Amino acid sequence: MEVAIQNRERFPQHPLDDLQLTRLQQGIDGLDREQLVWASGYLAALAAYQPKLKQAANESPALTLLYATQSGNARSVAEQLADRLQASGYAPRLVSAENYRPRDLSKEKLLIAVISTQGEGEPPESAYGLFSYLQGKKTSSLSDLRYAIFGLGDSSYDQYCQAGKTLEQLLDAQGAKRLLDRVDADVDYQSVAENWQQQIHSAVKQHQPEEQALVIPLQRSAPVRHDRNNPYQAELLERRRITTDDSLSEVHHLSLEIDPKLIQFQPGDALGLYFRNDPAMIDELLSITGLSGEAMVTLGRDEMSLTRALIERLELTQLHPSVVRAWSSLTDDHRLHTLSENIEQLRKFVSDRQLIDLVSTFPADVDEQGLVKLLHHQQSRLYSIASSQHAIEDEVHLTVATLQYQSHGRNHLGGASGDLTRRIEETDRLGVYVVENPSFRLPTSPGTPMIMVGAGTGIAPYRAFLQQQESLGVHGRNWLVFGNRHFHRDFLYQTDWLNYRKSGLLERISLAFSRDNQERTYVQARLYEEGAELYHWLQEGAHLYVCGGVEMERGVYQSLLAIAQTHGGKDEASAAEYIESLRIQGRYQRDIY
Amino acid sequence: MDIKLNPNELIKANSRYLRGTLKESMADQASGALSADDAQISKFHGFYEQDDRDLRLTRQQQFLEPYYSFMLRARLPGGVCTPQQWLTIDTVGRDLGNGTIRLTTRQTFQYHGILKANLKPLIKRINQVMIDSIGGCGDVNRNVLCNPNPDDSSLHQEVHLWAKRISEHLLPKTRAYHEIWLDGEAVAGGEAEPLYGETYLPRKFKTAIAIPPHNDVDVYTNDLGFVAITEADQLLGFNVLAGGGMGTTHDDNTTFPRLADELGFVPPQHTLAVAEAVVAVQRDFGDRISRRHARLKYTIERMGVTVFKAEVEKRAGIRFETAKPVNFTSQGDRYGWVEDNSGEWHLTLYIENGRITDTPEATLMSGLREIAGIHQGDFRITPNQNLIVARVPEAQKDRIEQLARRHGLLSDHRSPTRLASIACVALPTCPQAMAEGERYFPELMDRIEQITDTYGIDKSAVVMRVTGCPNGCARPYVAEIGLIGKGPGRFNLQLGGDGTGLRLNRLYRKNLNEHELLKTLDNLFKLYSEKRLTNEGFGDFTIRYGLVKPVINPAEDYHDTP
Repeated sequence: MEVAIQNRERFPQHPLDDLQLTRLQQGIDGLDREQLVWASGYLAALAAYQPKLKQAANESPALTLLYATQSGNARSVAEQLADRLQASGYAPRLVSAENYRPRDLSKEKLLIAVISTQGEGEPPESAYGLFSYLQGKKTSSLSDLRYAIFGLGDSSYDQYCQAGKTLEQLLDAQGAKRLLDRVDADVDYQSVAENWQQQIHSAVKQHQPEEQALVIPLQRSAPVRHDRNNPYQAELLERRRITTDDSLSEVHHLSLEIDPKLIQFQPGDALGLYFRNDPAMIDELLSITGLSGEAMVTLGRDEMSLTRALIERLELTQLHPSVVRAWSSLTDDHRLHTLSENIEQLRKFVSDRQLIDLVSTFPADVDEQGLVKLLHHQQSRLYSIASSQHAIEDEVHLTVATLQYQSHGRNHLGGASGDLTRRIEETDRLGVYVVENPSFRLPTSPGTPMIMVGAGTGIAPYRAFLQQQESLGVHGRNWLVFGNRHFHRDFLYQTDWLNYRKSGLLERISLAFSRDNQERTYVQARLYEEGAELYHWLQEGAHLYVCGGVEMERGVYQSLLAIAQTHGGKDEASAAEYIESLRIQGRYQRDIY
Repeated sequence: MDIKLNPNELIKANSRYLRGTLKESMADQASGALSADDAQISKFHGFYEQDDRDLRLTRQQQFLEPYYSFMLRARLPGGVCTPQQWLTIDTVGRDLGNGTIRLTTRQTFQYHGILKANLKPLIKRINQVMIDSIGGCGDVNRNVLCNPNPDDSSLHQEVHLWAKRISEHLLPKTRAYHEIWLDGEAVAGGEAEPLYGETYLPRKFKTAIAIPPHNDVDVYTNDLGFVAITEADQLLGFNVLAGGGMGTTHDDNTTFPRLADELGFVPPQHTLAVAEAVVAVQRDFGDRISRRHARLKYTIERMGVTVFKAEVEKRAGIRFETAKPVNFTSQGDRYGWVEDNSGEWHLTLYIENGRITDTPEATLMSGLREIAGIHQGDFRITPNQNLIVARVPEAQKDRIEQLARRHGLLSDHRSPTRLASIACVALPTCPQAMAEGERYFPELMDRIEQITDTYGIDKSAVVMRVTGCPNGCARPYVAEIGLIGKGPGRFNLQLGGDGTGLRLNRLYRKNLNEHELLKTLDNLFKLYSEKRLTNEGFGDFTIRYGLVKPVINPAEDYHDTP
């Protein structure tokens, strides 16, 4: 890791680990003289008033809250717990998995982990290092450690909360003891999380009396922090379709206005957002169920009309198996009962249905509050940000594909994408917050070559990358690899890329348009074709980024394996090691959805 | 010195005999376009970069580059091709173009809407039937026109042979076309372009051969013209003409259309030497600073005809004899069946706008394909964008006529004026267009027919030519009514052509919108119907009646008021 090596040479004595230092450098990047002076004062003040916190981070911590997050949910749960513990005078160390040194585990006394699960039961990218350490040979006994795990997942997937389960097994295998049994939470995790936080709170109290704990509570520095629980209301400045009318995929470019003092993001970050459900669909839902939209219902502490709850607060488009089960209990329909007992079939059932399909096919008796109760709260949706704040301070750009499909005699529109691409109008507002994506970042050393691989809307973060590089005046050799259906219809942001090529920021553009020719070509195949060049770039220190769907990501990985073998003269095992080493060095970063 | 060579001269000079970076441009997948320089060089290979101008703004909003495609113009001397060639031309147009074939006023066909990736396969496929597109566009001698006269096939064949010889003789010698498109071997070492040199001509160069009394090639509008002189169906030689040209620039009074000067008569054996000499003089004396003034017509104006002619004689090593008297009677096509001396039949089909495609109204493309499937003779594209099914034996006449009628290729209900009129391509593909051309022509014609009906002049043919810009592809400056695009929906109205292509017209009204145009034509046709002499053509009437002054010497008087 070139940057880290440079850093070690420049700061031989620094007390931070490589990643902390890199992130610090990223954080202050672009500050002017005045801002730097202010920041140094700010850091000095932090150090002066919280000496023991610093110590706590440096020495073996009494209590560590570790989170591994993809969408920001795990982080949010961990933060809430940290707040709660701090309010009682504890000073937990809150740390993201990618900033955590796995060998510190042996020094831990109390470890509380919040971890989400990806597609096929994998942990989030940020926890790869931790997992491979625990699975490897260098682990030492963790018999002094007590731990608790909060697993986040989605029960509509096969490997529900698998990452949490795996972590539990790994810790058990090293002799760690449980503070509390693992708790798994489904997509509608808030109430489960709250319960668990209380349990943890009392368990910690029991295990570690307050007088032993550190007593200086951490003050949150930002007065307002916009997160999933407190979204910022951003105004839509502009929306335009950027695929042609004859394209099969409808992709829109959105520009939202934000206050740069309140919303800050870096290239690679995502925007979480809440949307409004389709009023037409809600009318239909009310007419089928015979419920009154004006009836008042209670959601948590809030009271509002049913219509408003359905539009703004409840999840109607991502049908969850647990909702089907709950609905099933209200009907006498045997088909639905049988279905509810078979998770396989249930998963298949929800895969191409929305609430409206369920309700219209299986009528049931339900009252307004009953309906509210069985539905999940609306989950915010994440979109990679397609603009750089350094270049455009007060806007966030998003690239949104309309999810639409025909099934069961009905046209279906995605919840968020339907709102964002069909319903929302200029000057409307959306609740948004930034979801940091520290594992998808520009190289810290300016001028490091980048290979950016994206399919479909997976190209979005690269627009942010290059906007940032351009506005910083960074020169470097960059290579964009993009795949979509048709050159003339679906070449997202084509003129931007051509302009970057003209200005010299983009050296190479490789394309795979799958439907332009008889034989379908995808990015992984294009990469393999250009494997010699790709390997050469990697040898020259290039960072490789991959953004897109799971399938593409797997294909790209296979291509990389093959390229390392063909052009790097490696066998299969060392090819895999080579790619793993790139990943560990932060030179192979993925943003997969 | 402030005077600089036109940038195109440097592009040509640096192109290594028309190679440029075409291979790299073709390999670039990120853009449907060529590099700017290659887009100049590509013209010499026969194709133009274009984009769908209707989509430009929308695509800009979509972060998409313009919808680039290419127009390829084949080289087809005299417009003759075989039915086998036609079948390939048709298939290629369906597979690799936009599904249409466009016949042009240069007696060849164009494909539109070719995507960059399809250029090479397209050129390869037409090459398989011995058709190329070398010099289809660009600063070289373009496709050579030749009267497709079906009256006397043996004479036509002889004259057509000269068209082919001239075309071959004036063809660039570079191997670039073969290397880039046909995977030919690269030629090692230096390569010479003995006639053209590495900067080729200053501007395009057009050549035509006419067989009197037909002036369908508008021989006087060409840089180089040959008028076949015959005696008892024997070719004696040619009257040689030089310095004709159509293109002008709006509001630039230093530009003008011009009819060619007569240099004199030569026997057939001197034809190639004279052609080469005229090209060489233009190569050496043409204006390479201003492309607006680079055509041969301006060179001759500058040198004077006498000096120019002497230079040509010196280089060709010949002396011109006095030109023979000739008589032209028409510039349009004659439609329907004509029998020649040898008893073969020829069917001239009116192709509106030269656009061959299948529509719900008429299946021209499928019809011609079917005809090509059984036809034994050849096809001839006319300089008025029409098509002749030539050399049909008596026995096959009915079958071909049936097919033509079934597919809408033959109709008895078209007015003489429509049949005599032509329009250029213009929007949405042509980058030069300022106003509509062929897309607008049919409906404009409908409205004009209403007027001619009203005044009972619907049996008279008026040669009307519509172009979307002043460059003059449809030769509007020798029409009785010329409409020249000025801006969206606006045309200049020119009057005074003589119906045989021997007199230039003159600007009558500027920048008319459709309403003004139709009103003006209404007044003119009313006047014509009331005041014309017996058999007097509309163009002659406008001159005699004093509506416009005739153009005598365009360099002096073209920009005078009517």
